[in-house]
Amino acid sequence: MIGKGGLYVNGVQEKEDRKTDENSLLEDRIMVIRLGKSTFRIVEVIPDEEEAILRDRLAAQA
Amino acid sequence: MDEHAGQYLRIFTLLALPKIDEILAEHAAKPEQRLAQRVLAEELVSLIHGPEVVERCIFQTAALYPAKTDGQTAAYKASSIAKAFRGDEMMFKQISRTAFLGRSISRLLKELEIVPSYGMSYIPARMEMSR
Repeated sequence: MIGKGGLYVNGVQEKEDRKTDENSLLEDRIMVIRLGKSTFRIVEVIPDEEEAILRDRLAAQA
Repeated sequence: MDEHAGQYLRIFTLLALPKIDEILAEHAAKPEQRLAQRVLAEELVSLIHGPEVVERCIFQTAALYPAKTDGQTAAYKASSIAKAFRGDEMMFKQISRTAFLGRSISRLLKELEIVPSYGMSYIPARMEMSR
């Protein structure tokens, strides 16, 4: 599935398996992950309160 | 691909032949801009998926490949990226701040189902798995 291009976070190649921190995010909320040459995934970090609201809504819909 | 661009434009798109000649002339003058390839991609995606998907793809591409600001690095803009991908379930993942902070990258990728296993996190093999 994954090629030889490496893992890039926010445009910078990851050389080791570091832990995430506030500096891992763009504008305090977005992480751009690139796997290989052109496979992108976007991660948005949402406040815990917002996440709890979303979870409750999903539970209510189920 | 360069040598086939005109041929593919004629075969796979509904563009008028004079318009294709015009595109190829412009492409020949500035091949680095890859106009023929871009038009071909846009026309094909439009025929198959519709023009609204083309617009979304162009917007997403611009967000992921921003213009280089200092000749070396391209600056990502979080607000543009979020706008371009919100609603795209495959590309766009959400996680709470508590679950995100302090997590190893390999674990994050696995938990968000970006990779199927820790071993495929694409970080060089010398990494220490911190599970």
